[in-house]
Amino acid sequence: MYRYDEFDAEFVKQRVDQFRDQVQRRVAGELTEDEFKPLRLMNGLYLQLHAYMLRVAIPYGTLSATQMYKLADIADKYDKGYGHFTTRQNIQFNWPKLNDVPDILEELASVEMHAIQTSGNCIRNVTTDQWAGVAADEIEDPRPVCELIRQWSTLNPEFAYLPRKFKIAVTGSSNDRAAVKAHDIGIITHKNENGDIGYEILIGGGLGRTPFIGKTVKKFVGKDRLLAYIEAVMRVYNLQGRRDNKYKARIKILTHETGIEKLSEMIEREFERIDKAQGELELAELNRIESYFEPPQYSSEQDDSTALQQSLEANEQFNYWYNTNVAKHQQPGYAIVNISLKPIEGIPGDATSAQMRLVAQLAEQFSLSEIRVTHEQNLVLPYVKQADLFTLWQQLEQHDLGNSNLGLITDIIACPGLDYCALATARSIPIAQKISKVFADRRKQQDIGKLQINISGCINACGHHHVGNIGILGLDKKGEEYYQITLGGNADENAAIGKITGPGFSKDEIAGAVETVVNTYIENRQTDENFIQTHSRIGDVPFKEALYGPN
Amino acid sequence: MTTKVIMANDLLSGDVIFLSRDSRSWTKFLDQAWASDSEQLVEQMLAAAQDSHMIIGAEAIEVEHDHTGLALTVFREHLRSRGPSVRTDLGKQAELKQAA
Repeated sequence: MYRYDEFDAEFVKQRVDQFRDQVQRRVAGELTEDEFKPLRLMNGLYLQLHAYMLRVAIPYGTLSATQMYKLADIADKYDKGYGHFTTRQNIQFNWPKLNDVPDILEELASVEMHAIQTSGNCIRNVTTDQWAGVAADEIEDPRPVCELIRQWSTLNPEFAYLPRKFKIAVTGSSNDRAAVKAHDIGIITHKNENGDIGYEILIGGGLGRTPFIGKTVKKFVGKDRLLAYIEAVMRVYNLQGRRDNKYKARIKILTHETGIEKLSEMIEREFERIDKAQGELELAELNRIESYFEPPQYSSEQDDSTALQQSLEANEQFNYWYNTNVAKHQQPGYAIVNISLKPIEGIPGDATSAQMRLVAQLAEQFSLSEIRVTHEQNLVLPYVKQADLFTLWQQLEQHDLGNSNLGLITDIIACPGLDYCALATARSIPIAQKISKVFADRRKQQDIGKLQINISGCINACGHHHVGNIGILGLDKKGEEYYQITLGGNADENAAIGKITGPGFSKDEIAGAVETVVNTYIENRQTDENFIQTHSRIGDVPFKEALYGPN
Repeated sequence: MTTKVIMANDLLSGDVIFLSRDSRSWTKFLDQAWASDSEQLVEQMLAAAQDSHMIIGAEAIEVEHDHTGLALTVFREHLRSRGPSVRTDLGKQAELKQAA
C-alpha cells in the first residue's frame, strides 16, 4: 500500500487545522453559511436530509486493517455505529455533529486518511478495479497510476475550480470491473505488440440526467506521457466546459456538443505544448510509487488443495459461497474473497462497526492486513490462502457477512435515496429490500444467474441505474414515489446505457414489475445465456409486452 | 392561505428543527412547532430565522391539521421530520418512540 511521505502528512494535518478554524469561525458567526458551505464541502461535509454527512475518501478503494479499525471507531464514537460504503469506493457517516468533524478528520489523518476531493468541482477520488494487483486477468496493477493521478490532482491550483466535478477511473485489465466507460476520463491499460504497457484514454462518459458512454480519444499513450495527456484533457475541459449551466457543465456535454474528433484535435494541440521532459520526472515518480505496490511476499508453501476440496464436498453452503464469492487470484494457492454487504432485505453497502472490526481482524489474520472497497458496495480480502478459505467463511457466516450472492440478482447497487439524501426524489433502499426479499431463495438466484440491478433515488444517478442490466430510477410524481425501469444497461467493457421500458410503477408495484422482467428472461433464455445476453438477442419488446401488455 | 411551519437545520447538530410555539426557540418535534396561516406572520418569522447564524436553510413548509395535530403534507418533509424509513431506530422517530 502507498504510505504518506512527510509532505502528505503535513498537508493533511494543515487541512485539519484549517478546517477546525473554519468551523470555529462559523459557530462564532464570523462566517455565514454561504461562505462556510464551500469550505465544508471541500472537506467532504454535506448537510443531508436529517443531519450532516461526512464522506471519507478511500483512494482507489484500498484500505489497511488499521484504517478499517479507525473507521469502526469513528462510527461508534462520533456516529451511530455504522457506515455506508458508496458506489465510488468511499464511506459515508450519516450523523456527525459539526463540532466533532475536525476531531474526526484528525483521527482519520492519524491513519493516513482524509475527506478531501469527495465533494466540489474538483477531480474526485480516483477509482479502480477492486481486484487490482491480484486479478488473474490483469495486465498491470492500476493503483500506481491512480496514486500518481491522486498526487497530481490534489491541490493542483489549475484544476481547483473546474466547471463541474470530475471523475477518473482506471482498469488494469481488459475485463472492466471499474466501470471506466461511465467516467469523465476512463483509462484502460493495454500492452502493445512490442510488449510496452500504455493506456487508452476515453472521455465524456457519465451518468446523471444526460448519460453517455465514454469515447476513445487516444488509443495508446505511453507511461511517460500519461499524466501530460490527462493534463491536456483537463486544460481543454477547463477552458471549454460550460460554466453557465451546471446541468451542461460536465465533459460529457462538451464531448457531445463539440464532437470527439474536434475535441481530440484540441487536446492533441495542448498535449504537444506540454514539455516532453516533464515525462521523465513523472516516470520517475511513477516508479517510486510502484515500489509501494510491489506484490507481497507470498507464502512459498505448496498449495494443498485437498483440504479445500474436502470442505467443498462436505459443506454445501460453503461450496455455494466459494463458487459465488471467491475469484481467481494471479498467485497459485491464493484466492480473492469478496464479502457481500447485501444480506437479504439489508441496506446495500451498510456495515456496522462490529462488522468493520471483524473484516479488519480477518484481513490481519488472512489477507496481509489489506481490504478493498468495491463500487458495487461490497468489500474484498485480496490475499487469502486457499487453505484458509473454509475457516474464513465460517467466521463471516457467524457475523452475517457470508452472503453468497456476488454478481447475482440480490447483489443490488443502491444509492441512499430519499431515506438520507437531500437531493433524492424517491427512496432507493426499501425498493432494494423488497426486490431482495422476492428473490431471497438461493436456488432461484443461482438459476437466474449473473444479473445486476442498480437503483437511484433521483436523476443524479448515484446508484448508476443507467448501466444496470435492470435499472430503476425513483422519481416524484405529484408527491408520490414512482419508479422507471431501464433495461439493457451494462457497466463493464461492453458498457451500454439502458433504455426506459415505459411508464413507471408505484413503490408497491416495482418489485413485482422486476419479477415480471426476470420471468420474461427465464422464459426466453437459451442455454447458458445470462440476462443481458438474452436481452441483447430478443430486444425490449417481449419485456415491454410482459410489463404493459401487447402494444 | 395554508398553514405553515418554519423548518430548518440546527447548525451544530444538523438536526431538522421547527420554530417553537413560543416563536423564539426551536424544537425537534413537529407537535411543538409554531404554525400560522397568516402569510405576513410566516414571512416575518422566516426572515428572523434566516437571520440567525445558528440556523441553516430555514423554509416555510405547508402543514395540515389531522387527528394527531400538525402533519406535513409532502412525503419528503415527513421523512425529514422523523428519520430514515429503513432505520426506525434512528432519528427523531426513535426519540419519539422512547418518550412514548
